[in-house]
Amino acid sequence: MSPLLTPLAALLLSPAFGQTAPSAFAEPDQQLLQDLDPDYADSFLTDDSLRAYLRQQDAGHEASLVEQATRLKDLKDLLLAQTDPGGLNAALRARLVDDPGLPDVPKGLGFGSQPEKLVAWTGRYMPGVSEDVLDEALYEWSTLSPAQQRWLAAPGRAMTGARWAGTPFDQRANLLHEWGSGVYQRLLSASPKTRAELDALGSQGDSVLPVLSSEERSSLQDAFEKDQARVKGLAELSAKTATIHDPRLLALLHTAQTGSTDDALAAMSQLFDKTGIQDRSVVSMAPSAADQKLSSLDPSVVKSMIGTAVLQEIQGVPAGQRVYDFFQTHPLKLAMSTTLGPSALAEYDHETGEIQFSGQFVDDFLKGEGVKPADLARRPDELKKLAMIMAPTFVHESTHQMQDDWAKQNHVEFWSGQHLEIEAKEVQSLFLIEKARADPAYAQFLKENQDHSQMVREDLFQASAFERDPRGFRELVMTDYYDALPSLEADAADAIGHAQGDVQAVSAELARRKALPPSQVAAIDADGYDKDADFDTMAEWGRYLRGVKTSALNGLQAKFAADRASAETTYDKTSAREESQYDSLEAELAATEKGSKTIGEPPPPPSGSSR
Amino acid sequence: MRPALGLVLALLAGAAQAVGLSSIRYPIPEARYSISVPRGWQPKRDVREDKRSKVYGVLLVGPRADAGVASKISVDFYAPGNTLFPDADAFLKRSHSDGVVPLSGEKTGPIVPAILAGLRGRKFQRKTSEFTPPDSPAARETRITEDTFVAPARGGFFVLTYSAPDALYARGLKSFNAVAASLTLK
Repeated sequence: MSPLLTPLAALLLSPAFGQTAPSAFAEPDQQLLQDLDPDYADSFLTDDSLRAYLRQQDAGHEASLVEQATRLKDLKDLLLAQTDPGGLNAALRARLVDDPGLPDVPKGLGFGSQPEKLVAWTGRYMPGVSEDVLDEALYEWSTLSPAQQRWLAAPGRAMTGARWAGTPFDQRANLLHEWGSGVYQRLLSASPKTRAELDALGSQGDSVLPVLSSEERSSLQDAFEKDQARVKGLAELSAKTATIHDPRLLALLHTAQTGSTDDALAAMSQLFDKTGIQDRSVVSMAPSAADQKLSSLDPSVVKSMIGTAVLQEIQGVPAGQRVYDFFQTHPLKLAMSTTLGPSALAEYDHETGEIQFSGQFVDDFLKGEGVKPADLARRPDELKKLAMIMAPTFVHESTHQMQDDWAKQNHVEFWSGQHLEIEAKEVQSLFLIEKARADPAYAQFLKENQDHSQMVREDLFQASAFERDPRGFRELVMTDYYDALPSLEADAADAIGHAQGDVQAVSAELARRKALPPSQVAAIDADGYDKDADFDTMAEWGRYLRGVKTSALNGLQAKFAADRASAETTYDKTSAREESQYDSLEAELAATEKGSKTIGEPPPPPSGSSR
Repeated sequence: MRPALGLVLALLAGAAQAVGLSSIRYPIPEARYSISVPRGWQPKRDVREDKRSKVYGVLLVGPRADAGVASKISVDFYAPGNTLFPDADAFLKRSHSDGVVPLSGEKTGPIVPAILAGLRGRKFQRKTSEFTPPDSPAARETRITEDTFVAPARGGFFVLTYSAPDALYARGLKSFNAVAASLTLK
């Protein structure tokens, strides 16, 4: 099946386009396809009557315009919200992707293959957007470091400023990633021992971060945090060095000074314990001993123990009870992840249906409390404390599972994006507010632990922001938390555009076939392909379609038309659900603030209800 | 075909934006007011959400601190019947509250009378924190200062807020005052 095809491309490919377009389309075509006007796109998407009218004239054409408008709106929102070059770069990397198979038919808005057009477009429609920020996000030559320019200019690559200007965005990113990979490996294996060495490492890290993948950035930041802890620990140990004479401690000191970072931190952890140095920031960075890790326990025991404790913790308040009730009829697949680093406490995995918590976080909690996992079952106080810390995030990730389930129940796609996170953040915050109001012991726990537990502190500040000003909180979530995620409109643009492109391509082949001599068509229908296949480019797929039997083509056309209808339905139902959920959550918050909300009151409208 | 009023207004707004940043007037047609957008601040609107909540406004996003926390100016008109607060008093009461648990390290100043853009209202200041990235054991805490101004008008009420990382607060305050002074009711 085809890669994504923009509706602009689809329209251009359509033999009928330009000959039969009704006049009602003249202005939207001009504004959306020619001028790429994002302000017009905003209004087009909210003008239901205009879209309904256009849909009556030509549903396919209207769908193409919706896809184009959503893409324009998404990019405009992104550029206006994101004033940080790194964040903007990450978001653009997910959007500006080219199709090498059809160089004359730009994918998306065509800015990926010609980044300079994005600069011009931004200047025209959003003159307030910083050109410096955009240049840096697009890896413009003038923003590259001398080291990067030298590497790119070396024989074999022979890049110049002029050649770079004509290089598509994804190729720029790939080349710079190649440069950064070498630096990345050197930095990962570095082992700084002094503040000066650490500062130099940090400086090199800052220069390479923008070209690394998110996983690489996370790994590098994790490694740097350990390096920081080691340098800090060594400075603290230096005052005690003269007092250490025990051979075993001297051996540990030697490891702390000369070993790998992990070995050094493990040695320091023991040395601190024996020399009376109190610094949890260093000790918590040391790798846990085997019996201190959650992985030392049977995963089913962990799941049962922690899952039961967390489910118990969320009962009794509306936002938590809905999650609890959901899991009475749906499976709870709780897992402790070994891959989630310190940057994320938990995530919901749409593919597996698992809610994964960071095993490292739980290990660190247990280490900080001085409790071994094997003792957790005998320490209900510690298990409850862990469950109370995990509960708000558990409600958040469970909300994603409920959103996923709603999508399945309503036969629509599960599109990841900002809309899911806004709802999940609001439910998470509402849960904390309701529970703290209903359970004095929980409120006391939050109060006492906000200075000791990072997660408690984060949850409390977030919940307060939601409680005081839900509209401001929504803006905070979109602007500071998840600004790089696509909007619902961007999701719709991708899905509708993809299906629309498929329909147009198959239609074009059917039209071409009608003009062929009957004997040639008969030969294809006798010996051609019976089904579709996957290709990297539209050009490859187009060539393949020429050999597909006509009956199979007709089947494909019906399927792709159904895909497009499904994407449109997904957008309509998801946006209706989103609005319904916001209404319910805001009403529930208002009721909670009045103190009138009690357990047993009717829940918000069922998921999937239309406004 | 029925002319689409929204499109006409959007085109007018687009034309205004093309004039030049220092003279940008940003209209909120549903609530019949406009503001000026200072240089370096990006206006952001979600018309669909405004329509749902009956709160009509614009968010201006400005400079960000190292941890990604943005300076923000918001101007919102809460129309009668909005989904969030019945009146200015209710907004002020909840937004000025300690919250469900008093937050360690947070300081909220008193509510005092104020006049902004010719509107008689009340305001207060809060020093608090924001954490990024969210739900991360390794999140960074950024200290921020928030100014909130609330004024009844037209049967509903206006809320103007300015929030910025402490390191950027003074830099953006002039912009906030300029935005507030530019608020024009039609």
